[in-house]
Amino acid sequence: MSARPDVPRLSEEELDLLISRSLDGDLSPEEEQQLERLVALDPAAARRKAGLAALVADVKALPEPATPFALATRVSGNVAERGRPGSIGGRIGFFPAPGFAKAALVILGIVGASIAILRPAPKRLAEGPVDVYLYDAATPASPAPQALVAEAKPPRERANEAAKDLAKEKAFAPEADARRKADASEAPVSAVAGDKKGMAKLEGARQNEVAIAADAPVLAQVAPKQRADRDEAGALDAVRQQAPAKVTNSGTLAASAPAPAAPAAAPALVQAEGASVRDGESRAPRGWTVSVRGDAVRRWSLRRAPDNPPPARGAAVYRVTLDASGHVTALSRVGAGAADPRLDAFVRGMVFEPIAHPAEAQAKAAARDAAAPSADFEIGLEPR
Amino acid sequence: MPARILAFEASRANDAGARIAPVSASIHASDRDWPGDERALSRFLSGDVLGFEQIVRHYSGMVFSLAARLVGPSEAEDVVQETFLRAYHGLERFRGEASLKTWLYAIALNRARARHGRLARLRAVFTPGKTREGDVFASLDDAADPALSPEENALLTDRRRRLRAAVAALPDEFRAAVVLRDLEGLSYEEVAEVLGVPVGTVRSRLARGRALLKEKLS
Repeated sequence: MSARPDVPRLSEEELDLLISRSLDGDLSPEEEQQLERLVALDPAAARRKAGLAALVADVKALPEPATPFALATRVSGNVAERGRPGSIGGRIGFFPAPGFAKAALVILGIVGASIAILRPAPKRLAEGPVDVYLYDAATPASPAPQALVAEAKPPRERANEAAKDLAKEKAFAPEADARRKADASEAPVSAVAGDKKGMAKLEGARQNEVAIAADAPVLAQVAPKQRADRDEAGALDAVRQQAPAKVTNSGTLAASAPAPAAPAAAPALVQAEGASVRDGESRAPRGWTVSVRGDAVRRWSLRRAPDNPPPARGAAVYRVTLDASGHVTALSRVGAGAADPRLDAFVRGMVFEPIAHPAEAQAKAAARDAAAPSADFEIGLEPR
Repeated sequence: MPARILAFEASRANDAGARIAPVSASIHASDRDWPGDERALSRFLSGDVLGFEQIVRHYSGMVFSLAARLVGPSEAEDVVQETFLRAYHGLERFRGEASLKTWLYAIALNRARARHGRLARLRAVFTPGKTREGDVFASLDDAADPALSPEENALLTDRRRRLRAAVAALPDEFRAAVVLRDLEGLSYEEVAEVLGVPVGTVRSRLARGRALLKEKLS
């Protein structure tokens, strides 16, 4: 490098940059003069510039690879085959304009949104007709099951009608009511007796009670004939002898024909298990009153119970968990009481359905459901 | 299309005469029908397939030349196919901020890099000890200059091969700058567009790449 004060000292990299730019004609006139002065005064810089110039010339002189024959034709054909988005459509003569796919997507989105917004809310389809049998098993003159028909009505309406009938029953048949209360007090109601508070609440929630007939009305007709007989076994024998084919356990809740005559094979056993004798009277196995308790009383009502309910032997309280469709997924018996596998199976076969409420209550219920996704509540089974 | 299409820079003829194997005659023939970037693009975007075919005919030779220098002639055609396939799908998004040539070069450079990376790894596995550059550029240096004697042609061939080997051995960033500037004849600004770096970076990379080349050859 030069030691002259008027020539700036450059590092090797700075000198290479200047020479490189000079070879490409990228230097300004001042920079070009500076490089020329430097090269003139510094032989090493001059040699470096000459060497780099020769190198660049050699690189530029390198032969260019020959383009393969018909490259453009092959490329065009390949692009037309693989690259055309509408190649399938092209085979049938359909060549959409650019942006066609986007426009189609936008239109489809608008149509979909319109359908989603304008579509009316799905109506709840009531499964009906649903016949609910309410009767007093202790009334001698009770004919065939009195059908309280709730034909395809919403659960709430059905529940209200059931409550009205219950009120009528209380108003016009005080004796029967009193007798039922007496029955309840005398029945082995171990589970309910320990939960009187809960049962009082249950009374307030009568709209969710549904009576399930466990026996045929014939029993009610037969029973008075045996009142004189204080022998339980004798009463049972009489029943078996007098009306063996009519002693049924055909009480059903949902979608059933009005108490048709059922096969006569099992009833004796049912009757034997469910019958009790009190005050010299042979009493038929009674039905169940199923009521929903707790917070769930406003949200769930019994929709369907299995056929052939077990004979009523005492009140029972179950805590059940429902899935979204109202089927019982888990249950546990609450309170003291002997385990009854048949009753457990009976409860497990129940199907509940949500009660339609006004929007506000429904929103609250939905909020509760969101907090606890699965319905978990108690139901009480009380002998009628 | 509202995009501003930069005028296509006419092909550089400064070193065309020095090239032994110039671009194929078909490309030169197609240049007579070349309507220019803007008209070809407009034709393509209006749905006329011939617009894209014109683009392919005009630029495929240039793209092949770049690809061959980056990955070798054997792989260059695949790079060209991938480049134009991508260009076909992306041409609607081409805004014309750069020239069509530099845009295609940028695509080709990326495809070559991706392919070269795969090839290098495969070669390292299956042919250990064989250098990449010797494999890639060997076929390009056999052309003889009829104006030279056989001895001079032999020396020339040897010098070319050493030079190609040196170029191929450059680090990727320097090699791309040298190839684009010295072999493809792009301006600093075009090289900057293709590489996506500032012009100052192109200057320094070129200077550094040339210095490295000189070191390797000396």
